[in-house]
Order: sequence, then structure tokens, then C-alpha cells
Amino acid sequence: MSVFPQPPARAAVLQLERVACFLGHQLVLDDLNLTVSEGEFVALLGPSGSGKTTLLRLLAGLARPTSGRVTHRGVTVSGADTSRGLVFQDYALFPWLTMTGNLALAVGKSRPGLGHRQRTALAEEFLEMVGLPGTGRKYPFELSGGMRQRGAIARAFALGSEALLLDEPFGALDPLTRIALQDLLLGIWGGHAGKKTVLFVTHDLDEALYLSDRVIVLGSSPGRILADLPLTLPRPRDREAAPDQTRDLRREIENLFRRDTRRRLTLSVGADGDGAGI
Amino acid sequence: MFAQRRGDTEFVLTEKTPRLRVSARDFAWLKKLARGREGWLFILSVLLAWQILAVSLSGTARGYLLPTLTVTLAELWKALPELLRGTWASALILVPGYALAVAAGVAWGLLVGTTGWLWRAFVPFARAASPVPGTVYIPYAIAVLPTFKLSSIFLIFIGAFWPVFLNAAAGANTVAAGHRENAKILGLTKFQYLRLVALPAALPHIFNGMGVGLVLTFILLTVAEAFAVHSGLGYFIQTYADYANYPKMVAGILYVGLVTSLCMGALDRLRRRVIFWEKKV
Repeated sequence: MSVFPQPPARAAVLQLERVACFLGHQLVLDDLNLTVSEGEFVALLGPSGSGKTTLLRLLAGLARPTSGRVTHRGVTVSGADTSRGLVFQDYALFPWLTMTGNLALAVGKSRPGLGHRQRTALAEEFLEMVGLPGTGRKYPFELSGGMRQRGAIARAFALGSEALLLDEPFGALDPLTRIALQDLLLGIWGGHAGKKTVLFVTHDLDEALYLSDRVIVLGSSPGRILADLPLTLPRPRDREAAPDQTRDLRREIENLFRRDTRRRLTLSVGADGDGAGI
Repeated sequence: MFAQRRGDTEFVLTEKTPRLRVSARDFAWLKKLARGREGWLFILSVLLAWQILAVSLSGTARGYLLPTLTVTLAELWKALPELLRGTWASALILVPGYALAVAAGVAWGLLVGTTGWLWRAFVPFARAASPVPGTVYIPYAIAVLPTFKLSSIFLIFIGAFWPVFLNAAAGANTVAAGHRENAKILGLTKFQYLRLVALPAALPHIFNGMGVGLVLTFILLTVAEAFAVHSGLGYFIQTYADYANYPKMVAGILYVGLVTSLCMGALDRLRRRVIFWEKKV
């Protein structure tokens, strides 16, 4: 059973209505309803197999739901376009283009009509924004994983999308780099005139609680929403105090996962006993 | 083995065990010396075997077919001016034919590899047409094209085109899903996708196709020059084979082998320069 959030006052940007999605014969998402409104920073939190990535791909337009509707500002999403920028865990930058080359491609899309030199100059500005000044002529493989992910974030902002979809963007980074990049992301997001709508997929509870206004907890097999929890901590947030401030919420989410795991285990045991299929 | 025979396992573990067998370690210095020179060593041993075989056959009828290495090298030295002129003549056919084949193969291959209906329409035909030996087209080429030289360029073109095309199409068709989705997110146009994603992603395949095409080109050179231009490396080999001048023929083969190997080496170096991100990603 999904928990329906109260309709927020701000305009809805991304919406999923009764979405179900099969990948092959596997039901990945079942009966999902979700509304993300303007300027919200939403964390999608779930274990592997909860369909987080599929959910993001549906919103990006890289996959189609089996049933139900995915809309962006009321218009059905029928394919990928630049109004929804997606940041992958890797593959965000083309290895054969320099950092400026990669960013200039995104700048060229958000600001058509710019000359080559202006695009390059803007690309350099975006690199500076994410703390990578002077790396414009480098190739992605010459930079560390953390620096590459900075580049990926810069590209997402350079694309000028209204909504940002981030698929475990910091999943492959070491904890210290991860902290630096979380703060960088919040800094750019908060400093942006007209905050972007952000959907952030993660399996890290701390990360979800530190970054977001709202945590959507996903259960697995099939993926569905277990809870939709608003977070009202003021920003900028205090990383030190966060564990105390969110203790109740943390306990609630942990209990949700524990119950979901137990349900899944009983289900699979039952299925084996009956000799029934999936 | 030694220990088992003695029935005393501890004997083998003591330091004073006499080493009766020759172990691989005894040749470590040889291995170290050979490292990095294996290719030359192999060629050297082939040449040595050739010389031994040729010397042992000399004076017999079969020995006539296999001139000794020393005789061949002497012939090679004598024929060098002729061979150098032949290289130039061959290049005049080879370079335009090969360059055209690479350009057309890459362009058409990328387009076919990234366009669903073109792939379905053209690739089955290409699979049927590509194994047809280029020599089959000679009479038609001569009939249609205005000069013999153009016909032989066309023959080279056909030989190199198919491997380049098939590899370029396969490479463009199998671009990693991550890159493809990345391009979709960026909203790249078809032309941008071809130039900025499909081409670089397919380059490793394209270079493989270019290597195969280059070898085929040298094979076809013999035929292409025989009917059209009456000069060049292929013509040199074919003529002396027809006159049963085997020392000269073998000298020609050695020379062409050297040229081919130099070309392949150059292609390899070009590949490392162009695909600079390969093995780093």
C-alpha cells in the first residue's frame, strides 16, 4: 500500500500515476504514484532490486512504463529530452572529449546560437563552479573518480534542465569525496536562482537524510513505495547534528526495511513450499 | 621423482639436494635476452630453416623451386631499383583505392550501423556480397570504367571496402548503452551522434577492419597490376613467377612482406594515437 502525500502547494513537475513496469518477465515496479513538485529535493531510498534506477529511467524517458502514466508538467513523457537531466554513476562524460568538450556539448543544447568560443568560455565557468578550474583541457580518464563526478554534475547544470535526476551519483566514491560532493551539490542547488527539482536515488540512508526535503522509501520485489516522509530540517544543515535530529525518522525507515525484508523472505519461502512460480 | 625412487621424501627438502635435472630456471638468462625480440627471433629461425632446406635441396629439381636465402638476398639487392620504382607504381593504385574504401566504408558503415531500417535492409546483402572475391569484378570494371588504371583502383577499393564497412557498421551498432543514453539525455542530433559518439566508439572496430582490408589489398595487388598497369610490386612477383625466375620471385615476396609489415606497424601506431583513451577507460 502506498502512502499518498498531501497535494503540495507548489506546482507539480514530475508525476507517476499508477505506474507498473516489467523488465522481461520481472515486475520491477508495481502501482506507483508519485508527485514531485517544483524546487523539491527528493531522495529515493531503497535496497538494490527496489526499482530505483528503473523509476529514474522512466522519468528520464529512457524506458516506458508497462501501464500507467509518466508526466512532466502534465505532458506525457515519450522520450529523453534536455528538460530532464540525468546523471549516471559512470558514463556521464565521453572519454574521447576533453572536459570542456563534454560541457560545451551541454551548453550548446541549453543555449543554442552561441559560437564555439562562447560555449567553451561558459563550459570553463561551469567547471569552476564545481571546483575544477583549469581542468578544461584534460580528458576524463586523466581525472580522479571524484573529479569526474564533479564534471558530471557541472554537465547536468550546464544542460539547463528544469529537473535533475541523479542515479546514485556518488555511489562509487570514497566517503570523504562523497561528503565533499554532497555539500557541493547542495551548494549549487541552493545557490541557484529558482531551485531545480531534484530526484536523488541512493541506497545510503545518511545521504538521503542529509540532502533531501522528502524521503521516498522503496520496498523491493516488486518495487513500490513503503513510505513518503517529509523532512523539515532547516538548511544549511549541520552534518554533526543530523544524526540526533533525524533519530526518529531513521528508526522508522529502518523498521520499514526490516519489515519489507521479512515479508519478502516469507513470500519466497511460501512460494517454494507451494511450488508456485514467481 | 628422484625422491620417490629413494623412498625418502625429506631428502628432497634439504638444501644439499644435488640438482640432477635441468630446470627452466637454468634458461632464465635466455628468456630475458629474448624478451621483446620474439618476433625477430621467429623470423630469424624461419630464415635459418629455409636456408638449411634450400641448401640440402640444391642441385635437385625441387631445389630449383626453392632458391637459397643467400641467392635470394643477392637478387633482392640487384632488383632493388626496380622494386623501389614498383613500390611507387603500386602506391599510385593502392593509396587512392584504400583511402576511398576507408572513407566510404566508415561513412556508410556508421550510417547503416545507427539506422535500424538501413541495417535491416543492407546488412543481409553485405553479408552475401562481401565474400565474393574482388577478382570476379575485373571484366565488369574494365567494361564500365574508362581506364585500366581506374579498374585496378576499383579492385583495391572493393577488397578493402567490405571489411572496413562491416566493422564500422558493427562498431556503430554496438555502442555501449551508457554512451547511447548519454547522447539521448544531451539531445544530440543524428549528425552529432554520428560524429561525436558513434565514430569514436566504433574506432577500435574500424581499425580492425582497416587492418584486414590492408592485407586483402596487398593480396589483390598482384592481380590488379597484372591486367592493368604492367608495373608495381604485384606485377613484379607475377612476371618472374611466369618466367620461372624463382630467386627474383621470392625476393619480390620478401620485399612485399617487408612493405606490408611496415604498413601494418604504421597502422598500429596510428591506432594508438587516434584511440588515445583506449585501455585507459
